[in-house]
Amino acid sequence: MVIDWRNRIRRPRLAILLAVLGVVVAGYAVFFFMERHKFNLLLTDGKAMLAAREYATASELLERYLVGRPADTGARLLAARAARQTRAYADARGHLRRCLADGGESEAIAVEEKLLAVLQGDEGPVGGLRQRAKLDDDLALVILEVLVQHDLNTYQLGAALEGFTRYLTHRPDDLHALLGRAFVWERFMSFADALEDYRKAVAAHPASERARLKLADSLLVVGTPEEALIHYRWLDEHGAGHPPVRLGLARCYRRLAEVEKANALLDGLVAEFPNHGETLWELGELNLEQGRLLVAEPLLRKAAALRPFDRRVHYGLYRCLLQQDRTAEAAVVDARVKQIDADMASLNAIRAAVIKEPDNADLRCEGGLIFLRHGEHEEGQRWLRLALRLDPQCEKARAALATEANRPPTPGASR
Amino acid sequence: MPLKMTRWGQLLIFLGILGCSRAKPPEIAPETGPVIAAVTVEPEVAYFKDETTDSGVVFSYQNGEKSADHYSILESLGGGAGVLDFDGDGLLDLFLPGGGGFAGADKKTIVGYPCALFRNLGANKFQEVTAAAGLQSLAGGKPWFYSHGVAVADYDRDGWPDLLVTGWGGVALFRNVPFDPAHPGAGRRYEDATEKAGLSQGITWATSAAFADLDGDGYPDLYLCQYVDWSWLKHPLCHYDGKTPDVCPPKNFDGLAHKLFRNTGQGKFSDVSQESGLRPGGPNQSKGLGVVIVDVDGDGKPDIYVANDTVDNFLYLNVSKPGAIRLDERGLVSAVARDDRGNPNGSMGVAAGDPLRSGKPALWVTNYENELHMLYRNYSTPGRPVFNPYSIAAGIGAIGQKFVGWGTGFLDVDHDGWEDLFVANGHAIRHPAGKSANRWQHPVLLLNKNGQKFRDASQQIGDYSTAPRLGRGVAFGDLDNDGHTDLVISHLNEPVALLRGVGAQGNHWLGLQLEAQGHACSVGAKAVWEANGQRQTRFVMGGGSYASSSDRRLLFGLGQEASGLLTVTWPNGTVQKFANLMVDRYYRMVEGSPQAEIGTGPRK
Repeated sequence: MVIDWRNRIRRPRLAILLAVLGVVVAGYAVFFFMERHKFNLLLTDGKAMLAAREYATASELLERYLVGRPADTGARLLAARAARQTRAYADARGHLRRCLADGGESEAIAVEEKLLAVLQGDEGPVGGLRQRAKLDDDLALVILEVLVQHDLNTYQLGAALEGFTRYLTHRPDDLHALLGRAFVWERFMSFADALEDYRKAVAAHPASERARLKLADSLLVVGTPEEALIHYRWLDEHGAGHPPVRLGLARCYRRLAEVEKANALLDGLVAEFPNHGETLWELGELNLEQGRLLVAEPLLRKAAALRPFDRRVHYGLYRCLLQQDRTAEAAVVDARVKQIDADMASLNAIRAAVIKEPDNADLRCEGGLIFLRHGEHEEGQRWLRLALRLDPQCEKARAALATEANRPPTPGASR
Repeated sequence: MPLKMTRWGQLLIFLGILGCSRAKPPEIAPETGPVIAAVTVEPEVAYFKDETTDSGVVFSYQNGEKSADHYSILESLGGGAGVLDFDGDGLLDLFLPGGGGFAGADKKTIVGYPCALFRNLGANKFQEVTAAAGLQSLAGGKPWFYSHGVAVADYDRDGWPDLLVTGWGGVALFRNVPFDPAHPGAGRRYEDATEKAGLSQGITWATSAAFADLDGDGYPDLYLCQYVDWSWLKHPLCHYDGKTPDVCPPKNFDGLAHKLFRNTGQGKFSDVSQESGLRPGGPNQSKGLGVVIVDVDGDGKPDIYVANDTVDNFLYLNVSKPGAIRLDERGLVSAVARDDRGNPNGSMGVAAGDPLRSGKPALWVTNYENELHMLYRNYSTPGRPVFNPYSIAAGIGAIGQKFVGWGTGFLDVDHDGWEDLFVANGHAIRHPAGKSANRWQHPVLLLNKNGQKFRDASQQIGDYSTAPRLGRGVAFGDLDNDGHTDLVISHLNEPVALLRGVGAQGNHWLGLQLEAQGHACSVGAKAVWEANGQRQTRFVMGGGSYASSSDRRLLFGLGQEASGLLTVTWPNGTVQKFANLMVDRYYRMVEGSPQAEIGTGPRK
């Protein structure tokens, strides 16, 4: 057999050429596919992050997606929502403009613009949005998320409760809505309803430490310490042995008359966090009920200094002094308890009035000043800012906020 | 990846619930955790046996809700029960207030239903003798008022227990008299002495009452709790869930001033409410539901502790002089006015005892849901009442705060020498908001573990506790003289229950009936049992529980101890010591008499 080497050599060249060409084509195809897949992945992940309320991540992923797919109006609307949630309002507005120009869904864009306006203090669109939120669709849920936040910020608890409930009708296992509604129930002093929402949250999200801690805390109020202990222990065993969990464990042990265990935990916490008022109070109370008055007194005094608004702490100190027959000193503390009571009564009246008159700046201002007087600076500032938003001429609010801005930081509440 | 603060995140910070949040992947790990509390069911024997069915006691307190849907606060209180040996046969009989209802075209005429007296025939059999005893109506055939409570005392010091019934619009005082004055022991009945005694006017709405000799003249004086200023003209309707009508809370009404009547010793009571120093009524004062009278500071004078609903409880320190009752209200400064957090509670039932063996009476008060029932440890010295909330330390917080507690008392169910606690529960409103506490609730038994802590032993109450109840007043008494405290429990619109104490088989006990000289009131006396270096103290009290009157005899659980020394301190300070007493029986001890007489049973 004779072999034609010349032809053999010529054919491989063609083959190689073809192969190279094939590799290039395939490579381009793979690249094209990968790019496409990458963008699809960005969109999918962006949506998932949005659903998981990881808005900053969602925003970043969607922005990257839009670099490659700038004309995707649906994704751009999502990017606007993510930007809104991260308070990047200018970015959100930019997305909405582009979305509108590219022929995006006009109603969704209009709603998003209104939501942005509400978040920036414009009450005008609220009524219309409430109406729109009554429709049974996904856009209604988007609206509700903003409205409940608006309602909480403006202390319209009834509306917030309704909003959460409506939201939960569509997404009954939503962790944040369950915890949010429980918070509102607690403000209405409806602790059993709050407990039920916390139970639902833990049932649907058993790994959520936040939900479980709220459930455990709630059980200490309206359940039994025995059941609360189960959840605190779970949190402790699953690595969440941070101060609130240890404090919760100590409270359970105290309520179950396991004094030594409670004492050991509280001693440890106080050593680690010597300026944590709640822990100091708990340890002070424990010593008080054990008749160790001289140990209890400095703990309660320090707790009272750190928690000037907390009547429980002051009442504990009052009892401690009474037991030592130091009636004059006790009377001074009692006066503080009475002042707190009077302030709380005023605050409750203001809260009730605010529910009826959410736009009354004077009420907001008055409430804010009481909060500040109680040492609840964050809440006080929030109320005062609201007062200013409602009435930019409100001098009292402006002056108080200016004083707050110059206030030196208080010793760390936790350490 | 940098994580900016998110909108929902800000919301959660606002909610104050970010304490332990951290960024997590959206997927939820398939991890499970405990959601439902473990329920501990202990196999121990029951401490009570429900013997209502065979007892012959068929009676239900009525609140009127079946006749009209007024949702008035009047309907929420219910009634109590009283145990007393009215006929002197040595067995405790039962008196049960009947409550009332609504009549007339608009159903706004408040009417009373008859109360009932059941005679104890022995062997757990009772016979209704209401009519025969003259209790079918008030004086002159006038129908009963809407009743709530009962108090028992020998107000005329003739040696026979008299009866006071409280209710809406007034009280009724019944004097125990013989059918035949020539044969006083041959049969007894009651005659309405309300008007004669000066108690027919000035009372608006009386709930619990207590007798004690406050001024030291030997005659029992009368403390009367009054509730709130309700009438059809002040009858708002409340909605707890925004739509369902229900009973309004006491906060919607002004409290009524309580009443104090001094027993003149001439068969009359004079109203000394004003001069004695009682607190006035008002929006945040005096919404009285329970009262117990006991010497809290050890000065020999009985003091008054009052459970008020949603406002500060009172502790009236007795600073009386002979012939002049004077009280000094010290609730706040002695720390028994409020709970451990300084909040006034919705307080209903009260008791005093020595569960911690301090020799001083601890005070106990049952409260509304979302509140702890409060045990106050006593650190008082004469003239200086000092208490400290002790519920948490005693482990009472373990039962949670879901109960609305009413009738209550200390009793030693297992005769181990440590006083336990019983509480009857039931909601005050008709439609507790959906997921909130139930209207019908289980009773609670708290076993005292050597003064260290109380253990929830409600499962061991027995068959009675298998069903939730609308509990109200409870009378505590040894109906069969076997040394076990029995319970008579009144419910709203449901039959009264008789629970026979059956626990503590094998442990010893000792019962005492303390009788001051000349049938004087013995409230304020105390007895101390010492054995093996251990001391138990029991106090003779007035009032206690809720709207009820209990056995005034004192019971000690002795465990395995069969000998010890008993010291009795009488209200006038006289001390008597008794040794070589036999156990597992009652003794009758008369002030000044050196011998303790083996008792045949109670009379007053």
